[in-house]
Formats: sequence, structure tokens, C-alpha cells
Amino acid sequence: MKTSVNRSRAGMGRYQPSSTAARQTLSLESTYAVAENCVCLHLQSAGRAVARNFDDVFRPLSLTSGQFAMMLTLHRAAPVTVGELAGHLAMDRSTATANLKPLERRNLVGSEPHHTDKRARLVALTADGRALLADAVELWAKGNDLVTQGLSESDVLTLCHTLRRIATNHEMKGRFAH
Amino acid sequence: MLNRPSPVTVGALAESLAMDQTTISANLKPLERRRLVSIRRAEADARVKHVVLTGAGRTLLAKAVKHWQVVNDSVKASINRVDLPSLYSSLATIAEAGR
Repeated sequence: MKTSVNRSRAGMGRYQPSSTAARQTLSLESTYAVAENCVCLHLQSAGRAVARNFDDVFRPLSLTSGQFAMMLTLHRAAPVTVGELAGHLAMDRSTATANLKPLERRNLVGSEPHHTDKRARLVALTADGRALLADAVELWAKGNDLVTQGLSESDVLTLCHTLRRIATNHEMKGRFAH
Repeated sequence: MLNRPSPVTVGALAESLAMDQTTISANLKPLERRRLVSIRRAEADARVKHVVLTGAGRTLLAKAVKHWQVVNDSVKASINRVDLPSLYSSLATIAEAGR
């Protein structure tokens, strides 16, 4: 794709507007071409729509789509550390900690210090959490049908496969970049 | 989305990004603080806010597109060439159904 952009070397630090008069800007055609070809933009628009739909679906249980994903991830045989939970959800640890708080306040999630690593905390679903998750999964089926209603079964399979490939291919790169 | 000849309203921007207006207003604040966008009340209707990219905003956008190109190409490279049109069409169907 051809774009008319500034020829100067891209700065690595915080952006400072250049003082030279020869600033270049993006043409309108390039703007549309970027918007049309931007994987991120397409993913985010669909992601917001999906999250909003699931927020509506889980509302009777006072659960958001993000809280559901977190509880589903915690539904396993053994407790996990906050760091592991964050890794599974591709979130940073402070976001995971903040998102756990409302679940802990509602006694859906419990935590205890790690047996050997004193700085780490282990989190797990409580009995209340497991009961709520079972109700939520029934609603989830409804939400999932709603979100994918315009797609065939094979479209959904291909989509999930492609999304998983993007997530796994770019997870490592993302980690190295920070 | 803001790189266009005439200013857009906050409402129209929210619509084209499928976000609600409060999220858009919150997301515009850091850009406004960095003087990359400017927000003015419409002359015809004081309740309506117009958003435009500033000169600095347009310059930064042009630079950002070069970085965007690198990452977008690398994401696309991880997807089968055949799967890309199907990905876009599935995502568009989902985004449209969820409006």
C-alpha cells in the first residue's frame, strides 16, 4: 500500500512535533486504505460488539463478559497465581488484580498466600463462584448463538482457528517488546 | 477516523467506532491534552461537539502509519492468505450484528 508519510526517521521516545515546516500528513485515500486493511480495527470493532452482547446476556447475574472469562479461567483443579491467571488472559498483572477485586468482594473468588513464594498469591473459585459459573455457562450458550447468528458453523470454526493463531503467534512478540 | 476534511461530531465518531459517547469522550481526553485533537462546540448547536485532528495530530498519524504497516503486515503474515478475507467478513458480520 502506498502512503504519503514523513520521510524522517521515526523517533523511538515520546513523540515531539517536528518544528520543520515540511511536515507530511496522510492523504484521505491512505486513511481509508489503512482503516480497511487494519486487522486491529476489525478485531476491536467485533470485540466490542461481542463484549457488549455478552455483558447484556450476563447482566441478570451481575457479571460482565470480562468477569465471566476470568471465572472460567479460574475453573480448574488447582489454584493459580495471579501472574498465571494474567498470562492465560493476556492481561498484565495489575489489571488482573484490579479485576479480581469485585469478584473477591462478592465471595466468588478466594485467595491465599502461595505456600513457598511469599510474594505470590493463589486464587481460586469459591463454592459460590462455581455455582454462579454454572448458571453463567447456560447464559453463555445463548450469548454465543446470538453473536454468531450470521455465521455458518464452519465460519465459526475458521474464525476461532484464525483468532487463536493470531493470539499465539503474537503473544511471544508482545512479551519481548515490553 | 478523524483524518478527514471536515470535523466530525463526538456522536458520529462514537457511531463509526461502535463505542458509546462516554468512552469516546474519555479516550479523546489524553489526545486533547497532547494537542493532537481539538474539540470545539458547534456554532450552530452548542450541545454538539466537533472533533478535528490538529496539525501535530496529522503529523503523528502519518508517522504512526509507518509503524502500523510493520505490525499489520506481521499479523497478516501469521494468517493463511485464504483465511484473511474470511476473517474480515466474519468480524464484520459479528460487529454489524452486535450494533
